[in-house]
Amino acid sequence: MFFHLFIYRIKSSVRNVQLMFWTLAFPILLASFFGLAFSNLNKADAFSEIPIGVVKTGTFGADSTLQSHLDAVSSESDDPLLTITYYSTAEEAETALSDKQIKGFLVDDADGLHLHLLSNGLDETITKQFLDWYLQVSASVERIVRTNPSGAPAISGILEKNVTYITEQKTGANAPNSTLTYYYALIGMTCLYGAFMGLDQVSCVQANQSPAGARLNLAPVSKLKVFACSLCAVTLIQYLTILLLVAYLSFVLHVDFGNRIGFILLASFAGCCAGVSFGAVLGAVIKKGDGIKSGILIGSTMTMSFFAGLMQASIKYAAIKAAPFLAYINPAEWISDAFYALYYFDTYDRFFQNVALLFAFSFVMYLIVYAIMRRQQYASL
Amino acid sequence: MRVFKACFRIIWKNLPTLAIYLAIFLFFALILSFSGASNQPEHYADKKSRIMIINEDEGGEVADGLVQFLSGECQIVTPEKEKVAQLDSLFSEDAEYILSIPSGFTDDFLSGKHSLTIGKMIVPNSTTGVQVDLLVQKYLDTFRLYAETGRVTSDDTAALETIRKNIREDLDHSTDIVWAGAAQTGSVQTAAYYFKYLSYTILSVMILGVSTIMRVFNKPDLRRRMLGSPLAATRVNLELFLGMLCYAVAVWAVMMAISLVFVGPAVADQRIVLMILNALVLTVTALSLSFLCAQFIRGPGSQHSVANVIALGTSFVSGVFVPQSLLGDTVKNVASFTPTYWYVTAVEDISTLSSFGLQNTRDIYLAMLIQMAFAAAFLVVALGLGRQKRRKSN
Amino acid sequence: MVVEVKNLVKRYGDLIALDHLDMEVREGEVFGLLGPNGSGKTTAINCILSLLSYDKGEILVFDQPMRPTSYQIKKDIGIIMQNVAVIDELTVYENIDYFCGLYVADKKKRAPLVEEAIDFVGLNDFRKFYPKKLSGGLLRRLNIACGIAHKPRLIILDEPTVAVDPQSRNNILEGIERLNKEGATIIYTSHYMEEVEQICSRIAIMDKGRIIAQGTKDDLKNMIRIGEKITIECLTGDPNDLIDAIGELPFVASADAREKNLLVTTERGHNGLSSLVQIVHDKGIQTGRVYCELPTLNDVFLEITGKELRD
Repeated sequence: MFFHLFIYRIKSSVRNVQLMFWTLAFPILLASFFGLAFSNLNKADAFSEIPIGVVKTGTFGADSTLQSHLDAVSSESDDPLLTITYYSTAEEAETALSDKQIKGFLVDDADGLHLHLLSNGLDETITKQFLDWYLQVSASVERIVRTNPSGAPAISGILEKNVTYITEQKTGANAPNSTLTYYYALIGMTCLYGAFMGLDQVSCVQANQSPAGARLNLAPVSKLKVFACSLCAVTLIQYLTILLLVAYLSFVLHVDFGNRIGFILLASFAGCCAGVSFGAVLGAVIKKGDGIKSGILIGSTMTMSFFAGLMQASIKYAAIKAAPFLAYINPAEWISDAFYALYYFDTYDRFFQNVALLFAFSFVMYLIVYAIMRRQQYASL
Repeated sequence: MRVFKACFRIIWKNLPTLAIYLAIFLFFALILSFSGASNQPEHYADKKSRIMIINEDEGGEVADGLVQFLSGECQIVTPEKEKVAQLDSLFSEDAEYILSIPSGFTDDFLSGKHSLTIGKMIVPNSTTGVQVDLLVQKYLDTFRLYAETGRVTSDDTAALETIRKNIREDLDHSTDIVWAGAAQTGSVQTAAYYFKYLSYTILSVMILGVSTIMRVFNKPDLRRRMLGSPLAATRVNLELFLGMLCYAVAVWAVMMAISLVFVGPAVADQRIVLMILNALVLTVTALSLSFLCAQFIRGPGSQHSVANVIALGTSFVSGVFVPQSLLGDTVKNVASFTPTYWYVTAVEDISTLSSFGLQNTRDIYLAMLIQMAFAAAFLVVALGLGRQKRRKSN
Repeated sequence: MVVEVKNLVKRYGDLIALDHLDMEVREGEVFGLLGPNGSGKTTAINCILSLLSYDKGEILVFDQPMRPTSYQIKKDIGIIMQNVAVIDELTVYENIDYFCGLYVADKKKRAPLVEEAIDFVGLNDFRKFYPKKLSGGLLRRLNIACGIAHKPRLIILDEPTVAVDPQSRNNILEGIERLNKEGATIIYTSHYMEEVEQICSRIAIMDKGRIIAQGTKDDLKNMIRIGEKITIECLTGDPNDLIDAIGELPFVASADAREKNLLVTTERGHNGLSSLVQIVHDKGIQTGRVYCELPTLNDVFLEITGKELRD
């Protein structure tokens, strides 16, 4: 009997176009959009040389230290920072700047060094810092020569000596990468879309929600037994769709999940259970109106996913910072955070906390469902 | 104007649903723009890296000097004790750079051995990393210059104090900045965020709303009855479109009223006026697109699918959630076939606009024209499809 | 006794849906439950099936009290609902197999039952079709197949012919007669009296949650005063002139004139057509068509409740 119910539930769920769209096609479509949008993002975060113009007029060239300073960081050097283009007039440089060929240009005249900038970004800041450094070292050298002439001969030796002050430390299990938040939130959303499945199963066994449900109530089988079989079936389907999504993300879009596969499987399963149970509660609590049910379902899962960082990764952290309890009431957040913890941390505390929350959530949801569905007779149909 | 009136009555009947859609998506847009405006570093008037310093060498002159210096140059994030919390803030880019100074660093530094190093944790290859590296290098190099030329040891507190003072003075030198172009005002920037995210709201609300209304008119029997009436089919469709246009304008008006929250008195700014106009253009385009979508939508389920795919999809590829400057060329080429792309382009252009001559605004008006062209195309296809369907059913 | 309902009361708030209902269904009969829309037929059925809770009363099925968990009883019941209750994502065959499987767990035993049910409703050519592709009539047949595949001893059909074309309707009615011949007891609800007259061996008429009359067709018709309705078309003269004369006849219950027609109802057990025609001719009036109608269940209903049974 179990097998019979199980197989037919799988058949009818897989053939349900609406259901499959939300649980499989939509997430994969959205993932592909993410892939497109983020394809350049990590590259953009990587540092690239800054195009800067230098106007060769006025006093420029007279001060050879500036020239050698610039050479030391130009494209030809070992450690390039700037790509330098030389202009003979300020007007030429101005045009290049407004055409956005260069980020800024440098004029060295009688009253000092001037950096002409268009906007205020990181590249501009770095350029300015580099030039500041030049001015600052000059000041230090000048001071030493003035106050401590005996130390002066050592200066160039000291400046040329390359001392490493900083070593990079390993972060977590893997390097931080904020675009992952989007993908993990997407998995959260997809797991919660398992709610469509849960919703469907309730209406299939409740006599007051569908004719087929009424027919089922008249059969010599316990309704709850049928319901349990149905839940097993759809949780399995949902689990497979999640694994498909994770595989798609991992192999096609090259999203990094770390390499603890067993735990990834566990997290996916916990997410599925939470999603399906959430739908079951919605189905049991809201009696009538398919439109209303799916509206509420989509609205609530979208909101939860939104706060887990689906549309903007920074929302996730901003929300939790502003209201820490959000981290404890949002299943989408638990799912995405479980994946995040698995990717980023060596330890398992955070991961298991999330997984435990998910299972506890499912358990409570099913308790509610049981309390409502236990009734075998209806006051009205 | 029978159909127009009926259309209005249906809108009125569905007002709660439509209002809920509008409220939800506006809420999203509002949160996004507030968080976007505060999280996107490019728009800080003075760009400072957010760093976390864990100083285990407190009391050491070099370490304290460095911390003091960095505090002036960067935005210091409250240090976290737990490694997990540190990593968290790094992943979320709450702190972009975590710097830990080992105890005994000062003594080691002054002895010239340089065997102890400062640990850093960063997002790999980030620009912030380069910037902070530069600051640390600069401070310590200067310190070394003074310490070695003056042969200062770690117990010579007075000398070290002097060095710290000297370095502060030296490092105070800075390049004179000359700004080319107009400065950007904060409210225009925030408004730009709001308007960018609004494209997601506009598309969602329009598709959901229009399909809710059109579902009534597209019921096969009702459709047949209307076609059986002496009204010309094109007239019926045009009246419907007109009815929806009222809905669209109402939606637009609400969104613009909310935008005043950000803009305040700057609403008179020509840039804001342009953004408002641009939003109206997109609303009309979205209306036209929704009209087309409604030809395919039957149930409430497919309504949500279409709205979500179109709104989220175009927003991601057009640079609503991820800035256009960070999108790849292929993506941008693909995106240029969506009106959203041109809307976002216009918003970005408007926000950096410094003068309002035709020379500078040409591209903006062009982007709006392209959106209108999309609107016309969608409408023509929708009406054409309607006609074809009718033939088929005949 | 297959079904026994005693003193059943069901309220929806202030509305009394079933008002002290008593009902009996005997082994082997086709029991018709006839009543206008909203008279409580479906509510009664749902209570018998223990789907609905009720406020008072006792229900026995196969001489045992019926409860939601009376699985042993449920095994022997087949239901065909008013609404088509099938699963859209399963084919015709799969639907029947699925529902049959809830009653017959053994796959080997089930397969021939499913085949038989498909044959029975004549859906052989459509076994791989999805319900959405079926016409209204075929869908109804599928609905029936899902309810009877497990060979129940009691079959309840709740308005199975609503909105069905005449051909499918006949097919369904014949099927019900066949099931009855094969030994199943049938409860059939409808608001079409013709159907009920055609197939039911015993009929109960319901109104406002009560059974107002029950018995065989003839029993019911015997309950009322009217015998036959006679219509005489008068080609010449005014039928109004005849009313007084005819009204005086001992077997005539009423006489009336409508346009050129003379309408006479007779007392039960009398006909007197020939004497009526004689009187008309005696008045020198030429007669056109002359016909009599036997009383229908509608007349029964009309006389008992004072309103028409039809919608």
